[in-house]
Amino acid sequence: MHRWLSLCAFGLLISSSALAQAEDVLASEASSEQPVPQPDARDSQEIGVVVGMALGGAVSPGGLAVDGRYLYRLSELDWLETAASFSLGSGAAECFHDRASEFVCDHGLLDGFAAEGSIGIRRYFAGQKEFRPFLRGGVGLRLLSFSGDDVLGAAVPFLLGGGVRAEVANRVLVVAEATLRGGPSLLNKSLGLEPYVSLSIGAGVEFTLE
Amino acid sequence: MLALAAGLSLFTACGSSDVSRELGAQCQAKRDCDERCLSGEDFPSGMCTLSCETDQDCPTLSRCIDAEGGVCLYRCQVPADCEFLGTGWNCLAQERREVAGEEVLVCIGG
Repeated sequence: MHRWLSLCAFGLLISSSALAQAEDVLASEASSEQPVPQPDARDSQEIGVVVGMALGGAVSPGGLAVDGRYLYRLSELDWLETAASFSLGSGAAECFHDRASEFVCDHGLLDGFAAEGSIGIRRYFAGQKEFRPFLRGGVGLRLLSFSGDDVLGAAVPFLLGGGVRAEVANRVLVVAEATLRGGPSLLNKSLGLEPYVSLSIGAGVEFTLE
Repeated sequence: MLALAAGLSLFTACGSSDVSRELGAQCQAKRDCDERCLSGEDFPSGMCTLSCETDQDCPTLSRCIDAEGGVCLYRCQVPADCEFLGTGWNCLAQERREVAGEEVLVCIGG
């Protein structure tokens, strides 16, 4: 009997010691799970759409510009910005052979079609009241088409732009912006390597995601 | 932003010339032009042009000539004025479409 009591007492001692150790481990794990200060996770993603006008010319398409984008917060000021952009203009034929038999295109500012995927960085700056200006830079891959001339091609434009946006309701922001694109393009119909330049101006809305 | 717009305008302006699908471009068929393609010995390498009844129907630098049913041709004073069209072009007197019997110097093959 005495031996059983001694064994139980030893067992209780071991158990209590193990429990104490487990509590210590849990306590230490719990302390390591304390929330670490993060940039407000609620506001780390945004989507948006902007509609406006793209001005091209020569072999750079322009026209109605529609742009859908997704933004992901990298830091307090910088956001990763990915976008799908389209410009839809006139399909009128504007290319011809000049007197030296060279094939040239003289499209207007609002001619052609373009589709682009781009990635870049948007940086915010201090603004006034609810308005917050930003600058963006990036690079894209742009497919070009002038249907009236059967001209097709691709461009790798660098994007440089800026704008301002303001929160008009909970999680809803309006934005106005301009973006200049410039870079090399490669086109068919003996046009070859040509400079690509376009300027797009637009306004739209962006939404903060949960 | 104004500087960007100015730069864009300068870039697009560099692409313009006096020859266009409307008047002056080389052509083999109507699809190469806005309206019509003149071909044959009088129009070496072919030339895009517009139909006309008076000079007012023609672009600047051209006149309405009573040929091919009335077409616009570049006006000129000396053969050198037509050199930009290539070899085979000359500056010759042709009858005006809107004034019968009156001639004007234009670029034409010959």
